[in-house]
Amino acid sequence: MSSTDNHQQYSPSAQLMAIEVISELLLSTSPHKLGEALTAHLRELTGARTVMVLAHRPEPDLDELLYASPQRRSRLFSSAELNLFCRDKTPGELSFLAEELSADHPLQAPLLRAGVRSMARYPLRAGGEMVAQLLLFDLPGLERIAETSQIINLLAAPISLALKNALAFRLIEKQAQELELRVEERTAELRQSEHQLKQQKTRLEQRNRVLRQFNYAVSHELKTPLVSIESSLGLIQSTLPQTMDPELTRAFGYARHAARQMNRLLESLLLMFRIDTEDTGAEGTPFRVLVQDAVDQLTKGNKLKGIKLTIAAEGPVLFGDRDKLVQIWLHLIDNAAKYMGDQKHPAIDIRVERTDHEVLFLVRDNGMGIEKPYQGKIFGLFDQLDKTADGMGLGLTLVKRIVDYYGGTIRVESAGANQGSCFCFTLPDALINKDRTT
Amino acid sequence: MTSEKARVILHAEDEPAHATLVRVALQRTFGEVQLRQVDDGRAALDYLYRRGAYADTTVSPRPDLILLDLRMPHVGGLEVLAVVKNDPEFRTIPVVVLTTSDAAEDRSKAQACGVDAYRVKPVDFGKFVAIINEICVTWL
Repeated sequence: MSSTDNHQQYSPSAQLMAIEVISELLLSTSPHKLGEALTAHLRELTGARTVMVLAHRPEPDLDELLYASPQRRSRLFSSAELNLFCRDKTPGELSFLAEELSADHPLQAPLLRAGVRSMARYPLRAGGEMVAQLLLFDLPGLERIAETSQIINLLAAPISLALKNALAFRLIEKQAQELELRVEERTAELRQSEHQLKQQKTRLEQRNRVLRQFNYAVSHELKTPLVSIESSLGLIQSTLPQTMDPELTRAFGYARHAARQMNRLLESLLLMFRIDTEDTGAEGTPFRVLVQDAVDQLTKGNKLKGIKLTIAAEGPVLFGDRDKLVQIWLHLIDNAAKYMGDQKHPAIDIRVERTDHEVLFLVRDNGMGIEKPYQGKIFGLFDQLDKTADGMGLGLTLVKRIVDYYGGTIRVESAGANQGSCFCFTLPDALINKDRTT
Repeated sequence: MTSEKARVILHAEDEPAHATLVRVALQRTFGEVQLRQVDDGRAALDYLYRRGAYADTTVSPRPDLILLDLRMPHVGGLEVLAVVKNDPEFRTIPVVVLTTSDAAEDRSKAQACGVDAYRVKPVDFGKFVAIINEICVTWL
């Protein structure tokens, strides 16, 4: 029998239904819509009380009820029961009256419970792969089943293909949605971390502000009583008779010295704070100008008397806060001058040495020197090896902090007591003109 | 020089010890000076504008030099400075800020307001006297 002959045997309503189903297949990309059209038309055509389309899913998932016509009968079977209609569970042809089923058939109990008297099952395959199955329940007569079977067998291939496509499309859509969701989640996470960063920045700015206010308070509020103490003591002392008890004179001296020392300590601490928080720009200053500036300040304070000073003629231009850079040589030279001991010919040599990979700055003296065990101790806060020397133990700490700030390192070399010492340091970040590189 | 002709300094300072120091330093360097001391910026403005207790010009004569501390109750030194330098009547009176603060911010604010000199109070009696002397030599 040719297919043309087959067509001629179909009733007009069957042919109309076939056209409608195929046009529906062409229009619909949603498995649900497709199932709805398919089951509605089949129900009309066959007179079956209920028509279902069950999408096949591989183990361990249960098959999915795509659509049941009429809708209210979609709960005729539980999903576990529906799964039993799958060909894997109940193989072979399944077209019968309920009472024909053997008593031990797994479908007998659910069919009886649902009050179903007859049914037909049609597999829908595409490319040899099970896509879905059509289930028809309570058919009006067996002769209608034969006609129905003919039509369904004819339509099975396009229906299966359309269903397969719709299911695949739905899967892609679902994956796209999941992807979209994940992108949204990640975007939210990013926004969250961006928000956290902003909060951290705000907190840091607040802390910086507090620190600046602290500096400010220290510089003003703590100095005010110091001015009162020192100057009032000076005033009192100046009004007392010259021939004062020497003990009293000494006591005045201690008290006034303590106030001045406290002030220097405050100033050094303030300077230490400012190293990390303030940089007045990256102007370029030649090495010699910086050293000369330090030497001038020390000479003014009469601190280099009798000391032979040698300064290297050549040196690099250093980029950074000029005052900060001057402090390095100021404290190192001051330190060298302070610890000359009983050297008859005190000398300080300020040099620059260039190697392949770095520029090394040196401040060398022929003074007291530093014994090996103490060489690592001199850069700590308030570390002072000689308590009798006039100092706060802050100078070298300050120098180290400034050297650190410019990405450098500092070390001291000394052969031991009375062998002199040499401070060697690098300032790599100050050798780069940041204004030009950025 | 008689006391009537002596130059007048208006000094605003809330710290009594510092006020005493300025007074003593002036006595030791510039004897012939009429020093008028007030303890905050509000009183300094009252003095300048002859308000309340400062109405009598013989007791509260126009100053030839104004010395200002920066941080004072009610009205600070910078505010007084701004008023003085914005009033044509007082603009020509030299104003020297005398403070413990060496903060760059304070210095630049004072300069922006037109301060004539900015001096940091030293923690050293001798230096303090020297600074007062230097201020008087320069601005009186």
